[in-house]
Amino acid sequence: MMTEEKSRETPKWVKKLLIPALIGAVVGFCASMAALQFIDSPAVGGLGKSASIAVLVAVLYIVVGLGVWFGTASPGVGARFLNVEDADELREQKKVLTSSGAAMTLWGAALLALALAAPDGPLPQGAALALGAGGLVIGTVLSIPVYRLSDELMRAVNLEAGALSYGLMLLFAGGRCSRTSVTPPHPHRSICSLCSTWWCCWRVSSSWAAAAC
Amino acid sequence: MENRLKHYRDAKGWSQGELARRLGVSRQTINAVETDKYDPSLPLALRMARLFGVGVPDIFIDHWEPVE
Repeated sequence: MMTEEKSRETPKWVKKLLIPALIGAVVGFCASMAALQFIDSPAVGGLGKSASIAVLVAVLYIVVGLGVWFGTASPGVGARFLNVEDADELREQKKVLTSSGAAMTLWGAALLALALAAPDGPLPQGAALALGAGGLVIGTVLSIPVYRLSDELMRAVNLEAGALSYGLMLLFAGGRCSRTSVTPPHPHRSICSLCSTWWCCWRVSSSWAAAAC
Repeated sequence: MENRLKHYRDAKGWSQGELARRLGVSRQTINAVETDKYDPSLPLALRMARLFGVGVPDIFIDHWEPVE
């Protein structure tokens, strides 16, 4: 009887890894497709490769940030798709995660504004700069209490994530650039996409490191 | 690293959350230490030992033997 009950129980790796990964893949795919449609829409009229990558990473950030925010607001639902042990963890970490989600959303919005800046994008340069700088500054201010409220485990996870993201960045972004010998026409845009790729790698590594704990 | 943190916590009748509160860390940290997924820093290990009134080697067991 006991064995039957155990065999019916969904394995932990399915609940904690496979299901969240599938949800993330579906949401990420839908958000990316929507972002690409938006880039090709008459309102934007297409962007260069570097700015398009920045838009995609910005959308990824906004989706993840809103996901964390929503998951923290509804711990019962959030525990099913966020990388946490249970709903109680979301309740206990509400302050940290709410600020973290808000910071991520703001950083995503800032990156989106910079990517849509004129002359390629439809956003006037002054507005893009104001939105970009404002989002980055407010997001950073919000992330300070997150760091202060983090204990040594979270700091260790972040440190490990940073180290892993450096490796991923070197492996994928560095390798890609050297293979294609890319000479970008807009250096500021390429810095933008380099930073966004690093952010993206950091998020992936952060999930891996957190999953290990 | 193998440890007896759960043993000492159970002896005091504390939950993971209660121990976390007393040590000033999150419940996730206590859970990660108890399940051998994370080795705490030396200051935290010292605080744990002090809280339970034992030595650090009583909580954290290292099977290493010095080479003669």
